[in-house]
Amino acid sequence: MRLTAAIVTTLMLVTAACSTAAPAPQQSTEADISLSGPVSLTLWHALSGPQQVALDAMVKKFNDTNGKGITVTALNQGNYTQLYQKTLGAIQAGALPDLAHAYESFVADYMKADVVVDLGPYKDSAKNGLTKQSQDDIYKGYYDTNTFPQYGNKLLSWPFTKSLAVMYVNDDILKEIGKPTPKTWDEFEATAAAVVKKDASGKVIRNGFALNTDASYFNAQVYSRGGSLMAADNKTVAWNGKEGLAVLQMYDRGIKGGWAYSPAGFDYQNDMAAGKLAFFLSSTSTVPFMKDLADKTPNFHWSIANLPQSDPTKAKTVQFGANVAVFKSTPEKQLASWLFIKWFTETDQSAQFASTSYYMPVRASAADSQVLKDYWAKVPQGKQGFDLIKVSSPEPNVRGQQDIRDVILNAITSVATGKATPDAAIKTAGDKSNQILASAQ
Amino acid sequence: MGAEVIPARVKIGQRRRFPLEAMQAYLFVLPAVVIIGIFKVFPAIAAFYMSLFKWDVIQGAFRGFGNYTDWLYDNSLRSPDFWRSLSTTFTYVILTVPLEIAFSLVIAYLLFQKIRGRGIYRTAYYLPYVTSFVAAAVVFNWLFHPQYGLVNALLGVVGIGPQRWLDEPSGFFQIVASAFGIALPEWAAGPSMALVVVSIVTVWHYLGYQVVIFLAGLSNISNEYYEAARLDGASERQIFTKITLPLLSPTTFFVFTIATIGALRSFDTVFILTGGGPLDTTRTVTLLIFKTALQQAQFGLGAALAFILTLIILLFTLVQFRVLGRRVYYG
Repeated sequence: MRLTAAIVTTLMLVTAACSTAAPAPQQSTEADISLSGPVSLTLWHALSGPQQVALDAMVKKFNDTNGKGITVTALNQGNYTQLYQKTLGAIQAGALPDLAHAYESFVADYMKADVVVDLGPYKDSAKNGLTKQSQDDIYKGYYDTNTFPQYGNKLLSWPFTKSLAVMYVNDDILKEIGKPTPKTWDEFEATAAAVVKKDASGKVIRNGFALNTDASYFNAQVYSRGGSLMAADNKTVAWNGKEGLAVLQMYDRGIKGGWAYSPAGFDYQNDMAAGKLAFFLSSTSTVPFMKDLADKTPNFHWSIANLPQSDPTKAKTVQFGANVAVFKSTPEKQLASWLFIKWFTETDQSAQFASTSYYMPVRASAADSQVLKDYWAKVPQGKQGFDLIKVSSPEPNVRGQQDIRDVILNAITSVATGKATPDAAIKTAGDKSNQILASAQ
Repeated sequence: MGAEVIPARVKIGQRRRFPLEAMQAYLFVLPAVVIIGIFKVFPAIAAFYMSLFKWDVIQGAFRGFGNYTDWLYDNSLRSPDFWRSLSTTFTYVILTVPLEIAFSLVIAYLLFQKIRGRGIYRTAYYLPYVTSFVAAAVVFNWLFHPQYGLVNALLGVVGIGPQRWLDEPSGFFQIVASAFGIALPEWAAGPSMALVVVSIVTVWHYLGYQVVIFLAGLSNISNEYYEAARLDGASERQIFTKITLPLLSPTTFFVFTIATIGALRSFDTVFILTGGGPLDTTRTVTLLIFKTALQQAQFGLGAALAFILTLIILLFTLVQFRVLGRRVYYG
């Protein structure tokens, strides 16, 4: 009896070992089915203005050409916060759309209700998925940000409206003072200080740097200084070390030194166009607004560049922008949703949407597209942003990240308003963020 | 026999009429009951149910009053936020309610006099109340803009440096004292400049409504009192303090109660102007509820906080009735 049990156990272990070494052919999943009839889908999104027009044009093209009877209806749900709130309400009511535009932290919350489809099997499906070459054409960072370690490394969303943190530069001012675009933070500080102009009363009339209190630009600077945002186990923050402290110390020096200021709203855009500002950090999605200002302002020249770096040979910035998640419904609707987002991010569509929406293409091959080449000829800043995608890394997609963003904002505000020293602010912010992470598990 | 029949008919008649009358009455109130039931009572019951659970996106484990104790003392992350927000809310009430009452009473008294263009003035004072607050906030944001605002431009004329107004987390008293070279300790810093500006805008917005209530109260005071007082040689000041104010006390009490409840529940004014910043110095309890439930998806905690606020408002109203209600002169 004991011998039989030992043989059976050994056989089971050997079988298990063999199955690890040589995987069995993949079983057919819901991702491999075929559509049997027309399917109607609803996509909730947060795009407005020209970007909504661009999305609607893409959706119409898909509806007209997909040949499978899939009809997508794209519905604006307000801004991102409102979209998130409505989706939470829809979860409670059991009335979710088929797809929704979503940041990573939104998806992490939706997964608490287990309503999000794992797109991994769809991506890898031999029948409906992407070839290896096609998968590799999409930037790795975009997979990273949509893969959730806390949910078994599932691919829970797909890149949709991507952008990245960059530095906007007033070329006219730099030309006037005879300095190049700074590559390191030391050069940046020296240049920003050299830019400052005062009137007879001592009032600053030209500033070096508009410091953005948004957490993403703090995170981008932590990256650019060689730091990390999260500990390896994703349970505590890592930006509260020397790199984060250096960011706050630079803000402190900028405010006290009179070469940096904290602007209200989006004033920094007008300030730069009016020749009152040399640098600000913002998203590549600010390009259309700056282009619009530049079109109205004679002799205003601007460009975008990567943030200054501690080590320019290891350049890094933050990749952000939203993604799209598919909600659990029927196998046919889930497949149709996947087919839509797969089409949307193919080379031609990715290039087309990038040229009309100003978001970044999600594929490297989009750069060869004539559509994008024509667009970049008109808006060279679009190409300047595109060239930085490969050095961009995502922000954390853990639950609690939205609250941590507020904590970072408060840390920056407290330094900018002189309410706290950089050391005290970074410590308070780090401790509170770790508490938030602990309670959000 | 007949004497027995007549009362019986009356009784029968009464029985038949009563349900019909009652039915009519119930039918009349039915729409209101249905609407209030669906949009007020049911959500309140549902929210209370939610407040008893860990409702983190979806319903989780039963916590009893655990969400309530988390806010009050049990959770080192939540509890400090609650007490700070409650303190901000009370400060906001103290800054807005007395000013609203004082200004609206004076304005109503002036508008009650027989002055030329009275109708135009009354309309003008009521306009802020019917103006969309979102639109008004755009104007106030410009007025109080730190770099390009009109208020800073005017201060510059009299030699006062620019202020950050809605972006300023420092205490109001601290800022004023520092202008005279006096350094105040943190405990004496006072409400943030941002909260003071929000309060000023709130008073501006609600003033017209309070003025209308006071005007209605003033018109209820019989003219005979004034005529008699004037015959006795009373001055205008005496008439105001000895006749108008006492006879207006029911209206004042009503305005005080409504304004206090309104300030405790206030959300839109603060949310639109500052979103609770800078450094959470304008984050009232209602903003904390919003953040907890709709930005953090912690519906159970948010619902519990909403009930705590409801209890605080009830307590406030009860104290007002007990302490001030007895001093009201109803004539």
